[in-house]
Amino acid sequence: MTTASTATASPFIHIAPEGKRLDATNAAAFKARAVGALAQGTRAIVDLSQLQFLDSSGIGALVGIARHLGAEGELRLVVPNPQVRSLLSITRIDKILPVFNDAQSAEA
Amino acid sequence: MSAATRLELMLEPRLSSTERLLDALHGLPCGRSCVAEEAPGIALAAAEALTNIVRHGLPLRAIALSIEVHDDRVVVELRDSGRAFDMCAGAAQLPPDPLAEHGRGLFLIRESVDACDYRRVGAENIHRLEKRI
Repeated sequence: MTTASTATASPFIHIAPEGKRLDATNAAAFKARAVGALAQGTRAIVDLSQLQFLDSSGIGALVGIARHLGAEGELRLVVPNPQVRSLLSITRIDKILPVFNDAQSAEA
Repeated sequence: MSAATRLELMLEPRLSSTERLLDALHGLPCGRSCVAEEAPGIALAAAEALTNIVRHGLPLRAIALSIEVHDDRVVVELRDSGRAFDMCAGAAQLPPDPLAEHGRGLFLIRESVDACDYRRVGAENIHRLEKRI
């Protein structure tokens, strides 16, 4: 499952995976739902605040969402979990997608 | 040194088995917390290895998982009946292109553990992952 919402004044569509894990079991479904939710916009914040486990499939889904948005779009990540942040650093995802500690910072 | 704690499970050869694997690592006490908390790299490496076995190894039978928790390290061993495939080969690898959607699994296995060993015994692949605590 995925939740998506647009705050009235926000230019970003907010998307969050349900559950504490984004991995091989749910990454493809998350990407598909996120891409569907992004039909009306090109700027998105994926909120991974509840995430405790991310694997290569989950990272692939995030990259897939960013690629779907294209050069004109923008994807920001909310990642407070230090282990998940470390993984994004090791894989250099944080070089192509901006990472924030909370949604408020990501909106700024 | 003898194992302080040892757990063995048989996992069905499907992706959803990673849930059982991760739940097992979260349930095993280790230091002040559980294995998944004290040695998160082993959880990631084991999950990536299991995913690779299911996706690419085409195992015919259940995958045997064993977890040993020692005072100073955690050891995960995965045995499968799929085609020969060494996930530990090529230790010194650069990170994959960050714009790629696939191809990070083996890199993360090697990055996340202190030792990754593979051997083929008969028709069985045996991957042994070790992480110091």
